[in-house]
Amino acid sequence: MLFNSYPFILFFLPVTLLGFFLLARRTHGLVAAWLAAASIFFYGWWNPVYVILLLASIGLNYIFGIKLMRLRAAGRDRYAGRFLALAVAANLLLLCYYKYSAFFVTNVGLVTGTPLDFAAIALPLGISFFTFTQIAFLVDARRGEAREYNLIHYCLFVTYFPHLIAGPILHHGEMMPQFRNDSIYRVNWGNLAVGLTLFLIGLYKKTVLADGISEFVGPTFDASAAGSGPTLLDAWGAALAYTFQIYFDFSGYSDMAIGLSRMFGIVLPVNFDSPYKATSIVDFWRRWHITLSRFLRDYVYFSLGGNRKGTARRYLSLFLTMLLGGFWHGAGWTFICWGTLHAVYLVLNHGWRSLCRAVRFEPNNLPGWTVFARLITFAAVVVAWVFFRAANVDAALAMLKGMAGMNGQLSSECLLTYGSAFGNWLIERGARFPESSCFNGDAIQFIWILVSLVVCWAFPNTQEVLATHRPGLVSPGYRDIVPGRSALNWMWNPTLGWLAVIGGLGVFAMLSISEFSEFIYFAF
Amino acid sequence: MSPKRYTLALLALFLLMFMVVPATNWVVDPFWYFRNIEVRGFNLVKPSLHSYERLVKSALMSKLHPEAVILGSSFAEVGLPVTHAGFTSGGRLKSFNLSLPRAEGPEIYCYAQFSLAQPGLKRLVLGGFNMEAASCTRYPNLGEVDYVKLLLSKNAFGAALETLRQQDSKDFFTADGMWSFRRYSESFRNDGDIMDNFAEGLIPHLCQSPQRNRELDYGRIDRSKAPEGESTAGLRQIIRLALRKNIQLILIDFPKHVLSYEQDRECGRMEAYWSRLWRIASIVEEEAGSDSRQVELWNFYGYRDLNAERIRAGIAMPGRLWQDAGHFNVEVGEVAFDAIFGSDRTFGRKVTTRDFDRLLAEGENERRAFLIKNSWVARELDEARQIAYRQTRGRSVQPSRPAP
Repeated sequence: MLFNSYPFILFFLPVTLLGFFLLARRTHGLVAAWLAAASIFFYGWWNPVYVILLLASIGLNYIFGIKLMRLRAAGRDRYAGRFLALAVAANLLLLCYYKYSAFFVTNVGLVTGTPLDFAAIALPLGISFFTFTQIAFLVDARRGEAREYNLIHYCLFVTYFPHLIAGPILHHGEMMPQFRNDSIYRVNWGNLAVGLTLFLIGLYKKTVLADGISEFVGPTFDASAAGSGPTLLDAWGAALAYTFQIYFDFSGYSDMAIGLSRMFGIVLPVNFDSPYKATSIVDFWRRWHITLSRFLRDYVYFSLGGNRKGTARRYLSLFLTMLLGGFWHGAGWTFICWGTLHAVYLVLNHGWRSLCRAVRFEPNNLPGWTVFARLITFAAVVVAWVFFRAANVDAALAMLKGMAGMNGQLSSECLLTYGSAFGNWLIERGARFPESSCFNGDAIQFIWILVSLVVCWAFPNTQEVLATHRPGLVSPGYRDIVPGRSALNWMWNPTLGWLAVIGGLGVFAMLSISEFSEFIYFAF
Repeated sequence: MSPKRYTLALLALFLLMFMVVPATNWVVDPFWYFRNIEVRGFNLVKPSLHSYERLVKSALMSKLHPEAVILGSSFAEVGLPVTHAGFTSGGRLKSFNLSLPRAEGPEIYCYAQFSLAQPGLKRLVLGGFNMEAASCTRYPNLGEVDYVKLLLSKNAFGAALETLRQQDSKDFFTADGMWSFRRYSESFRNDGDIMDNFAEGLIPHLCQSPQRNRELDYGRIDRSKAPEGESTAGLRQIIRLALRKNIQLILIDFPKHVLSYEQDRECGRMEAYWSRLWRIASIVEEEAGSDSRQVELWNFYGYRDLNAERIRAGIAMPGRLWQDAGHFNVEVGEVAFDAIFGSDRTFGRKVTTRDFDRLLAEGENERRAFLIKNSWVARELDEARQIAYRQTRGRSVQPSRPAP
């Protein structure tokens, strides 16, 4: 079931909320079971067969977790370490089977020169997310940071529908105390108002902004995959459109998830913090998909040694972590390229910082440096997204060639549309331009990109707008979201003005639902 | 304002929206699907329908169960008269024009399969078809309607408001599926505008070396037996389905304006045109028999007043027979249907392999005689072509200028 669907909005959500608060009057234990059952129903709506897989994964990991906690309590640390490795391997095996087996078999076939026939397996929805969530739980259990003996609560922690399909990736420790908090079981109009507002902003981002700009992405990327090289303007147009599409799509989903959860009184961690305002790649990864970068930092980077084993080892750990992050997104060389590119960016960024420290140079003091840094970071991110979106590496390279102007700078239609006199002047002097559309033939794409830039660079993000109501949990080590942080100080409160704004956005967003579209991150 | 009042106000707003929007869309019915309330000056003109035809037309087939159907591209939608007395057997057959703008061979094939499967269909006029079969997985929901899109989408709501606003619009659809296209558009005020429109239509038909007065090369007209297999499977399947269900199938080679025929001739494409026609005729005869009345192929090649309307005739667009070199108006379609379903054969011929040579010879003679008397054809073609070249300037595939 999609958040941006009428069955969810008109039936599932009201029924689940109503059941939650009605049952809460009788017994809290039953409420957790109700919410877990509703979440499983939510998951099964897509494909009931995979509910068995989800429940099996939960059951096994619950047993693994209990075992780890008991081993730790018994002081058998070495054995617990081995058992943890086994449990994590079992989870990764499941993930590999569903997500990566086709990729491996295909590539082994290519290397050996004998194409191997392998029937593709349907990827269970959200498998990457619920696997990572549970791996984190196992590691926490081994470290003694997680103690959970209630199966229903554990099941709810994993299946909790706002985060089940596409995150945020949760820490056991930040959720369980909330489930045990009695205050969430009482109707809280403040939570409902904040949650509904967040949900509607997220819905607007998804159905109006992300789906709206998506129509400018496909044609150029598809043409590149088919072998035609886009011109500079077309290539940048499509790459920028995708850059905004994926942000509005995924941050919209996260806003919806956080908002939905808030209606139940549960606060989820912040997942996005205006990533395109980042002034470095290090900064970008503190703002983009925060719960994933937090997971990779805590459970991969630190496990590989982090920054405790020298500079070279640190960079290697960083590189491997990002490579794994790329591969986590999808079984394909494009995702590996994307991860590698970000790994290189991060290593360069850390190297640059070390160099600046060594020579005592503070670039931030230079006039205009922040703007320059933001622009160059943004450009680097846009270039990397090309790999993320392209059908294959060749198509990505064709797009990048286009972005470098190697397929011509402008198409004839661009000239005729935007600069008729100049275009004619050039053509009369013998200039010839490739046959291709210009921004899909009209100025709308240009306007979409411009508006998206303004939204991403000038506007406060959803968390900032609702900062006085602490809509999301801020993870340790990440920037706190406090009122007044943004230049445009838009502070949401339940007022008539905000009612008109949010109501307007909500009506527009809900009427845009009928153009069915999935979230991009459902594929990961 | 308290959070409680804020939340309840938002919920009330959405409740209102979920009542008002579907009700408006149902009453105004911008896509002519529900057909419950039709009031002149309120919702009888449907100016927004043309963008959403694919949303409703196949569903209307399932809902209305027409017995006589026209299917093709916009040529058929604009020009073939769905209420023609012969086509509807004197009004006895309920008729519908299922044609879709910009429809190409594969889509028409899938819609034809769908139409022929409908109960009650007795007659299908099919134009713009391919001989190949196509995969219809791209059209999985033919005959079904998405009520959410019809009732709850902002596009439908926008279309409903547009419908209420534009009841004085002269562009119109008819309830039985026909569209006026550009006939009443304000953009075509004089001969120059119409010339530009013709030129735009010529662009896809430009070629590198057009040659004036090119004679037809009879040797290049392929008259070999149509092969079995993929290249003809689509047409064969449609004919077989029509025969099996006892549906009359009229295959139409759409009429074209003489400028279009001349452009094709100067680019050396007429041989391929006749070869294709021969092949279709031979398939019809193989599948349905040589004198079948149930499956017929009709051709409207010719150089007559009906398809030789001058561009620079000083006639306003609404009074014209042709909107461009491909889109003929319903007056032309009426005469074409008179030939097919009546006895007036002034325009159009049934094509058979037996009469093929006669058809060719008559066509060539007619052309020669017409061009001697009508030198404007060459002049107007040159003018339209020059404009078309200008419109394509700067493109990498620029056609060369015609030989003097």
